[in-house]
Amino acid sequence: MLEVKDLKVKISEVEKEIIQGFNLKINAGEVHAIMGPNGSGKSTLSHAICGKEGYEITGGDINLEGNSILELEAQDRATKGIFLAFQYPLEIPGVGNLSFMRTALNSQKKTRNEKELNPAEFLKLVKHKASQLSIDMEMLKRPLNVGFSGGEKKRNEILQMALLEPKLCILDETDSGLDVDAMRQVSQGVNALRSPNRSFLIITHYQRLLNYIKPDYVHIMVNGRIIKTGGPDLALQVEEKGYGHLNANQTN
Amino acid sequence: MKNQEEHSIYKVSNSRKRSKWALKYQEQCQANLKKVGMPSRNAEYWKFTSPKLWNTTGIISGSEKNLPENDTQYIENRPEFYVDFVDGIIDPVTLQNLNKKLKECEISNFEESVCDQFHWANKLLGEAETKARKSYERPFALLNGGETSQGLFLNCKESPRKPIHIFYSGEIEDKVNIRHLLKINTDSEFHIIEHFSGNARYNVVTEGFLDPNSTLNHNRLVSRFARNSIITHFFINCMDSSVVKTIGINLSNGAVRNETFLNLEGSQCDVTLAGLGVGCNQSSICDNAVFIAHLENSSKSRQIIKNVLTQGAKAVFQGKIYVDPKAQKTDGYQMSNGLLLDEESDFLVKPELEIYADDVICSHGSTSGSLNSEHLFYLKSRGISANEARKILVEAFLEEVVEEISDLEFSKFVRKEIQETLG
Repeated sequence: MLEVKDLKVKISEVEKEIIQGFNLKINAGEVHAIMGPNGSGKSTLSHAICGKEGYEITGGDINLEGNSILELEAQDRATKGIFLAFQYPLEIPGVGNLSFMRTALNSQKKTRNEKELNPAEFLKLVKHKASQLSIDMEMLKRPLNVGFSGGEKKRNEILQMALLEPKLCILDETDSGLDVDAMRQVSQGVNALRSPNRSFLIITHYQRLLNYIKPDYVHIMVNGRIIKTGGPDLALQVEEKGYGHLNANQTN
Repeated sequence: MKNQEEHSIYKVSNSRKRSKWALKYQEQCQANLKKVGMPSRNAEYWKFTSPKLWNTTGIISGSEKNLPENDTQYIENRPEFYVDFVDGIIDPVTLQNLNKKLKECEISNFEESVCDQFHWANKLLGEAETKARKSYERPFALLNGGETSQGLFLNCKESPRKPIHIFYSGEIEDKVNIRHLLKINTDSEFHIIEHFSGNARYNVVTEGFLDPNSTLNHNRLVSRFARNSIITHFFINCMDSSVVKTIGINLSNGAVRNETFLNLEGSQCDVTLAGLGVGCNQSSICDNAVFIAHLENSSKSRQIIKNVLTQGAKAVFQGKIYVDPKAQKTDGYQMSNGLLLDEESDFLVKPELEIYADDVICSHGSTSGSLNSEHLFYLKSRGISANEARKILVEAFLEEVVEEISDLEFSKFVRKEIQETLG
């Protein structure tokens, strides 16, 4: 599904490369978690995969289903099936939540030459998906993320994911700012979307999210590259001993 | 086709003569204009735009695109209550129909009203204008007062259930003077919506007198089909606990100047002024000059101005909140935002506070900048094209003003017109 090969990324204003020779392969249906301390380049990686402007790829390649996506703009990568659940979903006053979601879904359908949904068809679909995430219609009628609680914002991200049905879902610190109940709710939403054709890349600081969303692989990222890969046990090890321990082992 | 002046002479010579009070007002305007003269760029409130723009006719070339044969066709379904001004002259049939339908208001046309010695407006004509002139001179309003013969005199005694629309349209390229006078009686609520289109160089003055506890809702749409320079004056006098909401939408590619003067003579008034402008080329100038005078205690005023500018368009906002020593507990707020889509466009702002009372809350702010790149990325990351994302964000920027419009049918229409203008 996704293959990142020897990727090197720098942010336009900064000289130093934040990602330095990063390699990762995610097969269809797999759930990979990337853990790492602050400043290890996790969010930079997610933005680089999604095509955010200001991130300069200085080396390597990113392939989705065997094709390089480096030349594609963010909206084209989204249409190809990449979805980023933001760490801090943006509040945009004046943009209605429902109309935004319908525009997004229909933009993707149009590009893929699929039939666009009319307002009634869309409403039926969104009502169904929203009820699974305990999102009421009132929340959907409000401006995009404006005045939403932390939990509501993250559930709104998962709702978009459910509507757009991407092939690769990247969750950037989705657990940040969530209480236990909200985390459980969000995780249930994510788990409901797991399928043999859909892959997940979960970026997190803490192991606790992985209690709810069971990963197939856990990678530890430090200084822009993966220093260790393992199963779910690796996350428990980090929780217990911290990143410093692994870092020291790696250096040795 | 007659122009407005010929029509006026025809009317006067074939009907009753103007009453003394009206003639006196007209003469005063002419004399005062002679005294103060037309403004120059040296005048404080004209330093950002040249008054010549409103003093010479200049049809904007190239804006004929999509122009319907008849300008007024741009609104598909005519509203229930409306009056037409074609080439600056009131269509008597529409006025007659309105009078038949609207029992809550006494409505007459300008020329008929000023011939009536005992008309209810005989003590009001020019009064709000005189108060406005104390803030600074209004030569274009004086010019209008000295020449006009067209307009509506409207005495609102109860609340009509729907807004009254005024459509200005036509083909003549001459100057057109129109003067309205509104009186809103105690406990009444009145909503007026003006639509500008056509070729004329409009100079419109609206004087309003709000009795205690009355409400005036006012919307002005200068449409994308307005093809000449337009100057409007909105001079409103507010008594105790009266409410004003005036919202201006400017989608024209010509020079549009709106002079607003809200005189809060009573206490506990609540006034809102909101304005949005979309300027898409070099000939587009949206100039708002606002003066809000708090003269008694506990009144509230709010100003929100939003301009989207591209391809060398220019917008100006000069907004002043004046607080008299007697106007304790005043709550004044002013915010202007410019969204500049390129480096050729200008948003020029002069916010002013003049406060002589010590127990007041007054704040003002102004921003100008480009589209938020984080917002753009968020939309694009969902598969929305860059163009579409930009359009969504521009419309969202303007939405704060559009959502102030209380008539849902009209706000829907404005959203559609904004979309058409943005292309």
